[in-house]
Amino acid sequence: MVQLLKQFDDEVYHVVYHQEGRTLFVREGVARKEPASDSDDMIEINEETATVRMLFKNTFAAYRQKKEWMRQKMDEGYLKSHLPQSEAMDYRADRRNIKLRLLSALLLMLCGLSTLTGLLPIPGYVPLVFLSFFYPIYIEGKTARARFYRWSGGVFFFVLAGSSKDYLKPFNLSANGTVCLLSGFILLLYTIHQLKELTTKEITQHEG
Amino acid sequence: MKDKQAPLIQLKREISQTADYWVCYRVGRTLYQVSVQEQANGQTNEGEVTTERFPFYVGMKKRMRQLAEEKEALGFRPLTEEERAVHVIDEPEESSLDPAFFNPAVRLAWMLLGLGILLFVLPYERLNNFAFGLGLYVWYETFRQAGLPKIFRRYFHGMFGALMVLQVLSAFELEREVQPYYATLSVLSAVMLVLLVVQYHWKETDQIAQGESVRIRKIKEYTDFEE
Repeated sequence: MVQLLKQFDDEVYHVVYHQEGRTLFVREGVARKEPASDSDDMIEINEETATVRMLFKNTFAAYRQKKEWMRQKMDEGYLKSHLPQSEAMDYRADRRNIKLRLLSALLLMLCGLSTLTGLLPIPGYVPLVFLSFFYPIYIEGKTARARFYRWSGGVFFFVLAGSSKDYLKPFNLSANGTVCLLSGFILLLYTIHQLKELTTKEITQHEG
Repeated sequence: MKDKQAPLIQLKREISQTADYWVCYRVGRTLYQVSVQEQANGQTNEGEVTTERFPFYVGMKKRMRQLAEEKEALGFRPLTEEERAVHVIDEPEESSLDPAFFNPAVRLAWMLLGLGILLFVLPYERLNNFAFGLGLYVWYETFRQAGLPKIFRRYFHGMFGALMVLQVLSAFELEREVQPYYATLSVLSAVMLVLLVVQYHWKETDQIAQGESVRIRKIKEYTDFEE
C-alpha cells in the first residue's frame, strides 16, 4: 500500500494505491477543515471516491503501472506518507495479513503431516520460528475466543521447543507433529474469526 | 457432444384456453423441472422449480426420459421447431452456501482432526472404522448442501472413493498398512471443511467498504496545561 498526499491551503488531497497480485486498487480523496454548523469546533471532512479496481495482464504490468502513476503524482507535488489516509484501503491490507496467516497455517499443517507420516520429519524449532511470526499477539480488548487462540499458542511453543532435541525419537516425532496439526488448525479457525470481524466492522462516522 | 444431446426436454399441453409448458433440464448433477402455465390473455403463472440431486451422472438421463414419459401420458407433446425458437429458457441461479452449515462443519472438522491425530499416534485398528464412519457422515452432510463450490464437491466425492478403497484394503488384512492413509485423509478432510468456511467469508469480505465514503471528525483543541 502506497499513500501519497499533497496539502493545498486547508485541503489535503490524498491517493492510496494497493496491489494484490495483478489487481490494482486506487482510491482518491480530499480532507478539508470546516467550522461545524452547530458549535464553534472545527471538523475535518474526508471525502473519498469509490475504489477503482483494475485487472492487469500480470503482476509486473500492475506493478509498473502503479510506479508510473506514482511518478506522475510525485511530479505534481505529492509526497509519500505513512499516515493512514483511507480506512477502506486499511481493510484490504487487513485482508492480506489474514491471507498470509491462512497460508502459514496450511504450511504448518503440512509440516505436521510430513512429520507424522515420517516422509520428512521436521524438527520442532522450524515451525517454532515461523509460528511465532503469525501467532496472534494483540489480545487487549479481544474476545475470550481470540485470547484462547493466543494462549494455546503459548503452550504449543513449549512442546515444540521440548521436542526439538532428539527429534527423531518416536515420542518426540508424535508430539511435534500433533502440535503442528493442532496449532495450524487453530490458526485456521482464527482466520475465520478475523474475517468475521472484518465483515461486522463498518466504516462509521468518527465523532470526537 | 454427448453432453449436449438431451440436456433439455420441453413439453407442451393445450387445454382449451391455457397452455401448459413443462421443461426439464440438468446442470451438473442436478435435475430441474419447471412448469409454466400460459393463459389466453398472455398472463403466465410460473410453478415451482423442482430439483433433484444425483450423487453420480449415471441414471440422470434415464430419469429425465422417465419423467418425460410420465408427462406425455398426461397429454403433453414435444414442442415444434417454431415454438422452440420462440421460447428461451433462462436457468435459475446456483444457490449459495447456507451459513447455517458452518458451525456443524467446524465441529465435524474438529472431530476429523482429533481422529486423524489419534490414528497417527495410537496403534488401534478399530479407529480405522471410526474414521470410515465419520468420513461417510461428512460426505453425506456435504452432499446435502446445495451451493457447495465445485472444487469442494469434487474433493468430498474423491474422499468418499478413497474411503471405499481403504475399507476394501482393510478387508484383506492390511489394516496396519492402511492406518496412516486413513489418518492423512481425515486431517485433509478437516482442513477442507474449514477452508470451505474460510472461502465463504473471504468472498464476503471482498466487496466491503468499496464505495464512496465521507468521514467527519471533530478536531479537538487541547488546552495547554502550562498556565
